[in-house]
Amino acid sequence: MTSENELDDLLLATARSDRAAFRLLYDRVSPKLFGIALKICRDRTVAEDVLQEVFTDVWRKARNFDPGRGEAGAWLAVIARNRSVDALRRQGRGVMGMATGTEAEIEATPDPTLSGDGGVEYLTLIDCLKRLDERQRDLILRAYYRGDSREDLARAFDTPVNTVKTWLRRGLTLLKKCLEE
Amino acid sequence: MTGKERDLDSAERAIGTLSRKGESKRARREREAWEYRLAALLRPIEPVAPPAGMFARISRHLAHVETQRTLRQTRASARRWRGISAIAGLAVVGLAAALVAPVLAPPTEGARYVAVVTAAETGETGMVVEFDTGTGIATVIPVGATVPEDKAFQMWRIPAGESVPVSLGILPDAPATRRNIDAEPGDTFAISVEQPGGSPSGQPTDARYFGQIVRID
Repeated sequence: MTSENELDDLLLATARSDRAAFRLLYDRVSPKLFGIALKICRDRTVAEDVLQEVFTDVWRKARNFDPGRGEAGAWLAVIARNRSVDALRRQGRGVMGMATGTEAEIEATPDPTLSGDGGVEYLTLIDCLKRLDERQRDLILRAYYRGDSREDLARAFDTPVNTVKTWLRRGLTLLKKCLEE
Repeated sequence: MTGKERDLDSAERAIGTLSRKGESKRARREREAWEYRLAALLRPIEPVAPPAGMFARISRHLAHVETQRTLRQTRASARRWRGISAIAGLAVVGLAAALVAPVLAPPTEGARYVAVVTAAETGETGMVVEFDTGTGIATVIPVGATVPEDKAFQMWRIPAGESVPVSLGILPDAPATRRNIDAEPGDTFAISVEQPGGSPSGQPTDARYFGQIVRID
């Protein structure tokens, strides 16, 4: 396992346009970031495009990374998640009609409550998610892993958009409260 | 809006149910705090090795992105420099050297050179040619020059002390690279206006731009 300090150092060096560090960073984290892209996009070609966008962002925005605010691994994973969701939306809105809520799509949503290894922060987050009402939890996770909009969620749960908004925000409020305990 | 409402907006921007467009600096920091909070959800996802060649592809893409950015900056600079005398032209050399350094080109043992190619008649900067003896790659960045309709630009090298130009090929109307170019300080790059297929005679038909190669590092 790559130590977090090493990733921090490589990312900070990348921020100084150090190409060798950028290459090393790629070697260390690209499998993880590709895994995220593949899990969310569920298409190898799309995931490869996403990975290219992610590392373009990393090269150009590395100077925005502040080790005082969080770990490099998390900073990188968030870029991969956001870029993946953007790609999914581009596709869904254009070609595939993503927001239909078929069973296959629902099954493809990762269920973090079933997964094992993820460290203390992960376990804490899961513990807090478990305390939420099931609907609140599902809404948050579908938005997070699949990029569902409020409208997508309203269709999938056969509920008015305003109700989705209320559930989402209640869930997020409880989640933050639980995490801060 | 209360602080709590604003924080919830940031949370929704983190999960994507609200748009991130146009958020304030403060809102961005709050959204990022939520992103860190939720990033643990990505931990159990298994790594998958990306295909071989992916890093090379990313490097090429980055070089392209940076070239485009350099081009925009160089064009903006050129507008400021246009019409200034030959002495100012030397300043453009320094400027170009700072701007055209390729981001992810492999490090080389060779020296880098720049030629600022200017219009023979007006002295206006037409193109910047960067040349690396290590890789043999010349990068041509059009600055003020535009190709006349139904014509093409052809690039030439005139070796120092000689008068017969050697063709380096037709230039696309965009930053372009040319490989395996043999050139030295003191040589002159020239650009001529030709038929779309290139000079019919093998020599420049209407040479308009000239620039001498200067070493920059």
